[in-house]
Amino acid sequence: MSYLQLSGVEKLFGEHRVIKGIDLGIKQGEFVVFVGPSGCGKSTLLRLIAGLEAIDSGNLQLDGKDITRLPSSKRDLAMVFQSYALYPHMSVFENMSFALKLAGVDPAIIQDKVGRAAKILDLTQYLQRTPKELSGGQRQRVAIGRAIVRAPKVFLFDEPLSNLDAALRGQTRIEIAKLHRDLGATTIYVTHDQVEAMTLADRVVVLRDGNIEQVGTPLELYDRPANQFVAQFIGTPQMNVVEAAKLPQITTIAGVSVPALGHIGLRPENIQLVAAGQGGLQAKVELIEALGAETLIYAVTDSGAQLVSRINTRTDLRVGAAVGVQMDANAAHLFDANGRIAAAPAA
Amino acid sequence: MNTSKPFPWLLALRTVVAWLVTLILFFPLGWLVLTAFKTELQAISVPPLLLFTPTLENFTIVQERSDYLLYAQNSLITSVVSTVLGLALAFPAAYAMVFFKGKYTKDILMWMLSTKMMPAVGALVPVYVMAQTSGLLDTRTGLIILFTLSNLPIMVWMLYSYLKEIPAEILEASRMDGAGLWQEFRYVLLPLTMGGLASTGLLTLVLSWNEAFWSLNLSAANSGTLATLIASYSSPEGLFWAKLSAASFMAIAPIVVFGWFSQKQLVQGLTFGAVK
Repeated sequence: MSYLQLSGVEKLFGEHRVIKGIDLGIKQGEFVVFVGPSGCGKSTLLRLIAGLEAIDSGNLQLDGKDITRLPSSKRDLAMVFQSYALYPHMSVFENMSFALKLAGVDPAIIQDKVGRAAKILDLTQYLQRTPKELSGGQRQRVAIGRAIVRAPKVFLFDEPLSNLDAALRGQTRIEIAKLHRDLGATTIYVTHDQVEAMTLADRVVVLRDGNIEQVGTPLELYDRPANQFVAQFIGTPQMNVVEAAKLPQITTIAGVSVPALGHIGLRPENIQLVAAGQGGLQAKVELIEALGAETLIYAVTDSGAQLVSRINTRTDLRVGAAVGVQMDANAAHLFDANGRIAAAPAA
Repeated sequence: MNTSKPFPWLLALRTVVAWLVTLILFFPLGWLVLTAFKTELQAISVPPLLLFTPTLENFTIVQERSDYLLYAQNSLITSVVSTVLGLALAFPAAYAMVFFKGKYTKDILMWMLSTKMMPAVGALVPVYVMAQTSGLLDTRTGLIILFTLSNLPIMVWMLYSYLKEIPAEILEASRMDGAGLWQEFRYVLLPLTMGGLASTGLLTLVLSWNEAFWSLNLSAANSGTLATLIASYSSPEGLFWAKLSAASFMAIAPIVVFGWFSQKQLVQGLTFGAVK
């Protein structure tokens, strides 16, 4: 039995079904990330678990107890909001101790717990300040501190890093990963950023249109996507997915013959650009992105397929140059006409 | 906004206009205060007297002829109680309208405001009959009910604008922290809307204190407010300007002093929290 179990959870906004029957089990201590494009229902699903929105059908169990109809205040979950949602009229200390104060915890214990959390989060010298006097990153840490002080059953994070600048985002991401390793707390984390999903998660839940597309470890999703959507959502740059007709060289993938209406998927690292005349296909370079450690080369084949290749070296190629394309057919994915996986490379 | 320095002559013109407007606005009030300290003869003398020996005679007569303290007490009780009652009703209403918005919330708000667009006299007869049959005529309870109800739309509107400034996520955060409805109100909502509550309360207090229409029509000797006291000096046997002025002066003095001390809060309230 899972620690947190969602069974057939549905949510309607008026006539519109935004969450369409979610079944998902989360184990104790697990770090689960909900990821998907905007409007996929990931934040709504988190709010259903939090009790901030009412579940319209299905049920939710936490630690063997049905909490489907329990108000948020009684669920013993902590949430970190995208806007941080700190209490503006309270000091950092009061923000972090609010839940304990409501629970009637002894002031000496509160002092001790808040002190320890502040130390972990490097907030000790800010405890008497108000949120207004803090930087974005510090506010974010207070929001996290407010959650960890309580030692709740599950931590919920709703896109906590999207208000931070890129450098701070990377740094805070690492801090959250460390924190999870140290505390071992069950965590559900919502993001639209697949890099956050890949780096933080034990398991990733990919959502689209209120449905789960696939659940798996980050590398499972990368290596063995269940469909074209997941294949293209996970990984940057996106997996190359090309109509089979435009890659006549590939006729079978993992023993399955390629149907005329299917799509072939290849990760950018499985495509090499070679001298013109060599390789199975001829192409022209359209764009080069030199990122330093890696180089992305965008090319269009004579058959009209848009491809991107990733190499870990610099390139002498220029835009407009004619090149040959060499594809690693053993690493190719095959999707049927409905976008479902038909054949995948051997593990 | 244009912050560049205007030409000196423009500045001078502005100053003159500003003073002119201020004087025009202040003149009736100033004249009223002057008249309150004149004798009846001085009050109606043509040309009007600017220099005279002030007398307190009018005040003595007003207090003798009618019990000022009773009227003041009625004003105080009706305005304070109706304000507190109004806040207690309007706050939950505004809270629900902001944080649990329904399909018709906007329509209800508009409808509430539209009731203020009807002239009060339009409802005079039904209200009078209702007050009479329920025994609320010339009682403070009757006035309190009327003041509360007539101020309710504006109170809901003001509090609505205040509460709208509070991000819903802060309240959600308090729920996640384990706060029930009362704790959410006590520890989060109340401290964050204190300014809004105060200025809404102040405004309604002033409105109720100055309310004249209903007090004149529904109250007399028992529950008359200071507004009725003033009106009683414009009597059929003729106008007594000096006494009328003295009564008016005594009626408005408390609320003017009160307004003076709370003007900062009031101005803040009337900008509807636009300036954070």
